[in-house]
Amino acid sequence: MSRISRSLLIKKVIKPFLFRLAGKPGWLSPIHALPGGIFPAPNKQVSLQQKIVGMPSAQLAMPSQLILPLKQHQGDDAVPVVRPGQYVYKRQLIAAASGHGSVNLHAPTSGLITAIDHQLAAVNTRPQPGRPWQQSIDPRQTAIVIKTDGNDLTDPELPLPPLSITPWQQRPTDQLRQAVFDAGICGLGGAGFPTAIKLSASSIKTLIINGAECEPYITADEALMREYADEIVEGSQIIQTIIGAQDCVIGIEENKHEAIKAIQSAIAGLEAANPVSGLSVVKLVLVPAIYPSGGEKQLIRIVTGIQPMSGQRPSDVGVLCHSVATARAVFKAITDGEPLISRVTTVTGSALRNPVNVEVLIGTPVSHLLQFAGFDSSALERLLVGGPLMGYAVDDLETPVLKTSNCLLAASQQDIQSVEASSIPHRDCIRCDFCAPVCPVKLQPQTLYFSSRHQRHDSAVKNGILDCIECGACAAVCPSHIPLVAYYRDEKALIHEEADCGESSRWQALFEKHQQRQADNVVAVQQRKLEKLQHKLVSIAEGENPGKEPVVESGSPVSHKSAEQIKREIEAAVARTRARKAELLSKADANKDGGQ
Amino acid sequence: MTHNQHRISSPYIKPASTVSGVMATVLLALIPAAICYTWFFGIGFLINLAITSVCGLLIEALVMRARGRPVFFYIGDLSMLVTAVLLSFALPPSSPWWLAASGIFIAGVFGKHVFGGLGHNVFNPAALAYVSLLVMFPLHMTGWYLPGSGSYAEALIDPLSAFGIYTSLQLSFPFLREMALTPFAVVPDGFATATPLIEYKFAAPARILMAEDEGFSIWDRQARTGWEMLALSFAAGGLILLWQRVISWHIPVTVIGTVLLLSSLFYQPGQEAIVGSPWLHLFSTSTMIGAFFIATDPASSPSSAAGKLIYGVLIGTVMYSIRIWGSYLDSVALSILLVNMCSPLIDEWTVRTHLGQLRVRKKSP
Repeated sequence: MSRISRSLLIKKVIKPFLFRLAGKPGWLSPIHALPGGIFPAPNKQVSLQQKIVGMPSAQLAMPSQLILPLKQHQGDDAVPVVRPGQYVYKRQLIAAASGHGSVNLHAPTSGLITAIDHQLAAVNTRPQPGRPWQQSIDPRQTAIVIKTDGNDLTDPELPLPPLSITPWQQRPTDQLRQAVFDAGICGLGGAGFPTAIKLSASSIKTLIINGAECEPYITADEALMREYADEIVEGSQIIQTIIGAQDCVIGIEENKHEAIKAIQSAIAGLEAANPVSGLSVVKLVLVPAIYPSGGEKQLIRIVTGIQPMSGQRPSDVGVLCHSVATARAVFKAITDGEPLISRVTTVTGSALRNPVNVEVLIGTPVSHLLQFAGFDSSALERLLVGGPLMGYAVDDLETPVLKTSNCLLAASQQDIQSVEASSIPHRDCIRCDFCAPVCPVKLQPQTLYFSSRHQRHDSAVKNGILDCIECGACAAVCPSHIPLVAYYRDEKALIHEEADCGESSRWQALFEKHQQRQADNVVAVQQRKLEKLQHKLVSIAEGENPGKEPVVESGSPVSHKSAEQIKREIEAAVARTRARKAELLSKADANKDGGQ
Repeated sequence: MTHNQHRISSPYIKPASTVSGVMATVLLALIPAAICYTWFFGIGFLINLAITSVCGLLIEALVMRARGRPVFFYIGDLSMLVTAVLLSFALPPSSPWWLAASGIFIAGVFGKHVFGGLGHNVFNPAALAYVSLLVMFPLHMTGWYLPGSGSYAEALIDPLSAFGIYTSLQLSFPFLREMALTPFAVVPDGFATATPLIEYKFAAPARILMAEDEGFSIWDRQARTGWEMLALSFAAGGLILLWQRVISWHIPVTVIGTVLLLSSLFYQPGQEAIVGSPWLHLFSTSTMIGAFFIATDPASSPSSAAGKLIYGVLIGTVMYSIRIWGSYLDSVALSILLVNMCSPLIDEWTVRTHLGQLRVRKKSP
């Protein structure tokens, strides 16, 4: 338990409270304790030794080609609006948003389109592909490929965006929101939810800018806050204006001292610049450095004390959360008109000689960045996109950097569990209960594990598997080395599959059965009638009296008719019944066809 | 499911602990008690420990082989050694070798593997084995030597003298006596002295406490009861476990707290021999090993914090009741076994309410 100690009351409650009493800046607003959490070794210093490296710069050349998947966000694919062989300028729209939750895609640099249907190799290969809720890009992703010409030309005819001429404060919010949509911005923190959709939420009280980058190794946001604090703070104000939030809070982990200082001075500078601004000032809140305090719902809980219910979005409870990288992207889109064509990504890991933060063009192949950071392929154990707790493994070094890739971790055996060690079977659960105290959602991971392992969906749902954020804290402390998150993901996938098709097909089948039964019933009734009539007919033909003797004698209408008459009537009835039956049968057949 | 083979998704971080690490911590936490036990009761404990460990590992290997599992992988979790050590503490130091061997057989096979192995056991294996032995071999299991009782046996088991060691060996391996190697004339068959927990449950310890009031020193092996030092060393080991976060505070605190509360409530000065004083209940019996090492067995105890509190209170209550009003000899193992049976039910009752869960149960229309 030395490397990942379990959460301590002191760090979560007592220290913040004392700092607040003492009036330490940043601690002034009350924060709320997060249940659970772990303290993994941060390993962040290595990539913060130098400043952010720009992409076409003296140190780092442009890659020869950029691979831009059409889907780098949650939602529908963007649709290419260029053709192969076309020359595109930097910032030119190459794929337009289409459908629900889609975002635009722009050319990060000038060059020739060489393909618009490039098939990417499968990433993070899974036994059962096609699960969009898993955190990785889908296998067989279609991408646009640009062969860069190195000139980095902007279209000379591209008009300057109007917003860069007029200050954003004087623009209507609809225009600002449209500008964010046009810039193709999606959440840069990892989930990739389209920012424009988030910005159209109404009745938001608190806007939280997430600077609590809690996962080990990742320093992209921290570096950004150190160097572009002004842009982040102004971007936060733009977002606040668009959604009309009363408060704007930047939450930073308390151990990021330089970033805190930079943000503080940026806020002070902003206050000095517009002393009578109609907006409330941006507030800085320090949060305890616990993994996963930077999770969306976790940060909301720490800062506001509000816990969104299961299935609720934060916007349903009047809170909105954006990462600092998104705030800066919004700032650039509004003031400069620059669409989202680059992002800051941490390139780190023990397999690199020179870990660094890079402002990288979207679509840059990973190998290009690794080369730059001094890649030692012999030491590489796994290449992860994202951190060691929530990232996904990549086999193909030509995988592009996406809008959501905040870190490339070229991990050696020092950083992560070795492939060899992780491929031996895990031990059985000893029910040690190390996992429950670290769960930030207060789940009971071992119960979920048993439910998932035995695929007891009811029990899994009842115990809250759908509220699991897959942070991996439970698996990180598990002494039996059970890949708990993998079990949960599979179980979630099965539950979703069942909900998607299982449930509807079950009802469909029940309905069809019901219809079939009804049709059969009607046919059977007609059949019985027919048999009865035929029986009568036969008995008349044999010369017997139809009906019972006493009925005939009492003078019923039958007795007045001749046998011939009765025979004719019965034949007519048989014909009618036959016709009816045939009709019903054909109807039932038609129903069956329709059902299928 | 294929996860038994490959860790295919995040997290990729190195796990913080291993099962063998946890078990090794438990073993380390038992070292003070082992030293204390040997010092007061002779090397009979070490002999028992050697027998249970070797037999336990053999049994584990055979069962794993029979179940078609990798043998060394499963022996490596050290859980069998923990069971062996705990069982050795429960065995009388002067018991013959086959008592220890059959005990560890019961613990390994009937306590653990019939339920599916480590983590699936319903009962604590050591407690189950101890109670089974108590039922099957009551005479052998009650042959405790009582230190400080002034009996002749005292000198015989001194772990620092050759005579004491030899006596212990002979008691464990009776066939040694048949050989013509006996350098000493008188070697007893066993000791039939009073234990702290037979019918005169508290009579003997009470006598010792009275003797202590007359001016005996704690550190004097001849005068002080070994039970108390042993209980204190178990408590020290338990604190190591708490500090290393191998166990949570819930079970030990509630077990000890309940016993303390009940014994204080029912305490009558001058009646130590019948109801016992709180001190006697906590430190002259096996309450400490039960509270810190046996009841906290994760597999057979409830998993949620609230469940652990209920579990601990139940164990404490049952333990005290058996001691005062029951007629069985050992209350700790029996009460833990009884309450072990309740832990699945307790787990059902105390399902953790997770964050974001809609609390509709109370407000259902």
